[in-house]
Amino acid sequence: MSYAANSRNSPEEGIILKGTGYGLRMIFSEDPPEEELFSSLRRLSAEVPVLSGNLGVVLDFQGRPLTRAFILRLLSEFVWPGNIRVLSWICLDGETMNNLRSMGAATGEPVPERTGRGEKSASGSLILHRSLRSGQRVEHDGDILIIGHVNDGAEVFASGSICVWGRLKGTAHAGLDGGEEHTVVAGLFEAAQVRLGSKVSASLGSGMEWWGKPVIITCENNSLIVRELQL
Amino acid sequence: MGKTTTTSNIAVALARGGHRVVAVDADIGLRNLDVIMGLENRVVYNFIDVLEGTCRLHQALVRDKRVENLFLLPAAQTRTKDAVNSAQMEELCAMLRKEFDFILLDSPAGIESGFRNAAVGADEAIVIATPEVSSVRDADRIIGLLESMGKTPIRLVINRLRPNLVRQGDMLEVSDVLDILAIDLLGIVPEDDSVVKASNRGEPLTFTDTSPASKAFQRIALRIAGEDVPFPKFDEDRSSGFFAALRKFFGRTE
Ligand SMILES: Nc1ncnc2c1ncn2[C@@H]1O[C@H](COP(=O)(O)OP(=O)(O)OP(=O)(O)O)[C@@H](O)[C@H]1O
Ligand SMILES: [Mg+2]
Repeated sequence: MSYAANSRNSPEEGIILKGTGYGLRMIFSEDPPEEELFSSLRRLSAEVPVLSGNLGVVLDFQGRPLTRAFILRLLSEFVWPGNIRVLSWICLDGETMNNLRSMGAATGEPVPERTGRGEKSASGSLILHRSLRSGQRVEHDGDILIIGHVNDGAEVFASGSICVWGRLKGTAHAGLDGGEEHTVVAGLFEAAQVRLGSKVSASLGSGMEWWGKPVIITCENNSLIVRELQL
Repeated sequence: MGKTTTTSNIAVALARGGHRVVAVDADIGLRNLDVIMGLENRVVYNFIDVLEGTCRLHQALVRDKRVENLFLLPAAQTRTKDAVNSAQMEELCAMLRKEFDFILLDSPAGIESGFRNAAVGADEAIVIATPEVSSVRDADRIIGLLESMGKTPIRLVINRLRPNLVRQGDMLEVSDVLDILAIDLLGIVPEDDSVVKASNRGEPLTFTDTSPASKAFQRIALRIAGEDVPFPKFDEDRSSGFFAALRKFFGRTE
């Protein structure tokens, strides 16, 4: 599916809608002024009813830097009134990404859900049957179980524990809300850093005896402990 | 990485195999596919002229006189990367699909709008990586983006492999690269001085049959055309059983 909102107007003011594996991607052209984007958005909301359906939407601003005011306006005039389920905000501008993260917005490339996989279990855990690639990020309120690898440059954030069945090379942050009773478990540990609650590990490397082995990481007596996992 | 080198060599090899081929320079602003293919003196129009209606498609296509059925569609050099949008790129590919068996789009580096524009009109993707940590991390990111855009299959070319070099620093084994990226291998191209000489001459290696890199590119072209070409010994020597790594437990599940 592909729908160009700009078909009747100059292509510069456009928003392009694309169907993808995870839902819809709205790609905002970089040049048009804010006002034009908002009028395109109003037209789109009226013409494309699926936008406010159950489908997740990724907002992709390409290289356009966004001010906080713009983000708030987008939320109050488009996202909230339209009941849009935003999966993630994407922007190539670093400052904007920092702004979005500090506002608590989900960022990064979403992970396409495969039918019957990547489902929330009854207990509120997220089970993902695939690997995460560099630049991909998963965040979940609960425990996360990844039946796959977490590659270098990928990120996993959980308010509960994180278990990576395969190799953990990217960033894992368990106990996001500060809870330090959680654990990080990896089938093969090769991450330069790991975070648990408010604790951040020193930079880790191949010198450690458990490097490249299965590990369990806990917080004990206020410090991070990494142990080889022996079953 | 070798994107432009790979595009030009595969284009020539496919055309020599009897297919109708167009190589599109989607690297707006930094165009160099025309130079690598030795066609820069014959460029008149570019694909933006086609999209803007300044000329017709066949006026912009540069025919390669050395082999039948090989064409170049040049990029504009004077324009910014944002001179085209995704919808126009899809329109261009739709035009080309009617005329050619294979359309090879040479993408710019990075993940910005230029890359997206190159990717949006494509059915399949070929990712080029060298066996180094940083290149493999970049390739992993590109593969994630291509997957989210629904491009399949995505296949891998490992370029600039030095088979006899002792592993050092950030160099990775073929099996490591395949293990991390977990996509199908399309081919392995060795480091080969004749690649650089060929680009200086403006004559892709696959016009002649001899060098190791040329043979590797020819095997890749045959695999793209659907032939089942075995991987030769120099690939395998690198590490035992890397074929097993091709579809490991955590690899592609479909
Ligand atoms: N197999 C090889 N052996 C030796 N040199 C190579 C090989 N492949 C590529 N090169 C050299 O590496 C350089 C970069 O190659 P190329 O221009 O194809 O990369 P690219 O990915 O298109 O780069 P860019 O991102 O700048 O467009 C060139 O000088 C090329 O000759
Ligand atoms: Mg190039």
